Amino acid sequence: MAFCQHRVGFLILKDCGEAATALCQLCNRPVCLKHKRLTEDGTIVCTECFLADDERMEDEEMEDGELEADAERGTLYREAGYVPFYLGASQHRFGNESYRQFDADAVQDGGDSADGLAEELDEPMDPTDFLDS
Amino acid sequence: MTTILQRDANRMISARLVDEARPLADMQQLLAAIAEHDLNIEERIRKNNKRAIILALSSFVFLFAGLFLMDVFPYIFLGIPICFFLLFILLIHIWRLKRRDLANDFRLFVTPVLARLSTDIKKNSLVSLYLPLDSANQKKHLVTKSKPYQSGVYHKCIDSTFERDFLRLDLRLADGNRLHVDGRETLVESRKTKRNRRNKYKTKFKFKRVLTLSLRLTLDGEQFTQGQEIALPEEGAKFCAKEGSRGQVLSLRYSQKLGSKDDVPDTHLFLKHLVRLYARLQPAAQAA
Repeated sequence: MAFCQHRVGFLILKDCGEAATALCQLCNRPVCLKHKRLTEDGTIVCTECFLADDERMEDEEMEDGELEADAERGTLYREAGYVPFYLGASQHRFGNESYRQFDADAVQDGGDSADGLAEELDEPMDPTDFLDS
Repeated sequence: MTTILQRDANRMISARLVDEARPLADMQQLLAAIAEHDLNIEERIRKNNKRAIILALSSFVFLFAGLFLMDVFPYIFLGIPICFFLLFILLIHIWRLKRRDLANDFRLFVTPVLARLSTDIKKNSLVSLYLPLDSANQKKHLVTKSKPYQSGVYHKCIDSTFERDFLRLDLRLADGNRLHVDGRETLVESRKTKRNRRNKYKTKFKFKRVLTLSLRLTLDGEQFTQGQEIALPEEGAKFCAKEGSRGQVLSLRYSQKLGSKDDVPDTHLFLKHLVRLYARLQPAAQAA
């Protein structure tokens, strides 16, 4: 059974962990009912992909508390220049997310640093990052 | 369980102070119960204000109706003293309700902050909170009072300064760090009195509220250490790092000026500064 890999938390991120009910059609992230969003054209997306679409967010009235909280979290990270730590088990990184893996092994391999990730954000997304559904 | 919680909430409402250490869920329920009481009082004040306006207008209606219908209804003028009597009773009731009204800091600042950090707080740990539920402009918090002075049309102006601790919050976080927040409030009340054309005294109040919030993050040395400084400006916040008895301590202090005594601290600004502290962290393993 797949588990929802939406990142929850504020200071430190971790996986939601609820049973997944769908895959995001943009980044292939398994998501639970709570973190699944439906776009106007009927595409199932995860909350982060939904929030990443600026045009859609301009139209959105933010009546959805969960969505509003995630949007505010992203704004705060940007304003404070924070690349959050991730304490979850998943090693897979989805398209539009950035975090610092809090894993001793990964760190020793010279993996993640705040600067490296900030640069990574500016780079265009590699299509091979996506998994086939 | 609910009754015990309600009893505790009532005790805190009477004391106008939350000074408790409880698990997060309990604390949130307690604050929700206090918020319900506060919202109920605010709603009653709003309704009674409306009634007071209606009564005041009714007395005018009786006055004008009396002028035209005095011959038909000779006792119509009696409506005016009745309206004034009811208005008097209502104004006393509103004054009593306003005395029971609580400051909104807990509802509009502490509750959203706890909700936001709920997944970051260590499970089953105690959330320690000290938060007065009343306003700072009380005698016991008075620090200085200026001598009466003249300013423009106001012949008597007095500035009073009140100071108090308005917040203490202690949280154990799931990542091993410990967050302590201290809030200090300074309230300046300016009372200006003038005499108008009809020789009546008119007094005006003006408030200026300054909140100084200190965030102290005690790091779990096995997990985190202070990393490099972030390049973004700190927007007037002062940062300091030192070695404490329990490990490295990162502190950040900032002030927020508010226009009135009822304005509440900005949740967004608080969370942004908290995130700024975290932006300075790096995993201990990486530092080694």
